[in-house]
Amino acid sequence: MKETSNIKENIGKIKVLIVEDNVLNQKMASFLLKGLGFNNDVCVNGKVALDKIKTTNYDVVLMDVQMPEMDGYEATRQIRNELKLHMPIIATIGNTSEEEIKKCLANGMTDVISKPLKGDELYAMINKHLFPENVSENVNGSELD
Amino acid sequence: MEKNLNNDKKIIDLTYLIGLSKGDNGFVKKMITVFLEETPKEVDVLEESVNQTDYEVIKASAHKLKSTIPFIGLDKIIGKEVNEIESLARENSGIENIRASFKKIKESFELASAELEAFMLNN
Repeated sequence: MKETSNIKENIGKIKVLIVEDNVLNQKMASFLLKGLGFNNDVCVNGKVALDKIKTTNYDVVLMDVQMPEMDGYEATRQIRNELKLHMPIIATIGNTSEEEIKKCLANGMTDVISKPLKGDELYAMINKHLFPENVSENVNGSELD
Repeated sequence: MEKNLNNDKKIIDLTYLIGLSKGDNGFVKKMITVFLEETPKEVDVLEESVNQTDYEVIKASAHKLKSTIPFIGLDKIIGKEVNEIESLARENSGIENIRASFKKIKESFELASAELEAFMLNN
């Protein structure tokens, strides 16, 4: 999917894993991603996410931070340190304080996005990290708001 | 059409959901159905933990509600109370204030649920 650097041509091949314990947030993220054209899978905590990531190649992970069994920080540390994977992991957070953002980045997350999610922000965020050489696409993404 | 869908709501505000749905009324109704199924359980857990002064559970459950209420615009009505409960619980203190805030949260949820049910019947 990274043979050409254009999100529009590749969008249907991009697989996103949503890691989120709140059913409303799961459905919202899935609906938005599907509407934008991305493929997505959903799982309920970090532990299940690790199992899925071991068997499926995901291009991007949307990671909630506070979840039962295994939180997003721990799951991210394991993805980076044990699975040695470097795909963008975007923390989905309700509290966008500087402290929270620092904590996410310190644990290996690539970036953060605030909840409730918005389609144009999600599109721009995925584009920014998968196709950094082509960030002007963000402008086109805004029409998908 | 969006304005009609959002008319006469005193507690809930469906602007966010309707905006995201891009005219897919089925999606709006699906999200409301999930809300009506899931949030009463969350409010029950919060109530139980408030009754038992279990700060750990109060904190976790207020945090969870915080990400749920914006879906129906309820953050504008009880966002302050939910934040206050979470902050107090984090400090393991202020159960009386937590109880007072929870009372408003519960009442608002009851009103919101009734409005959502009416919306489901009328749309």
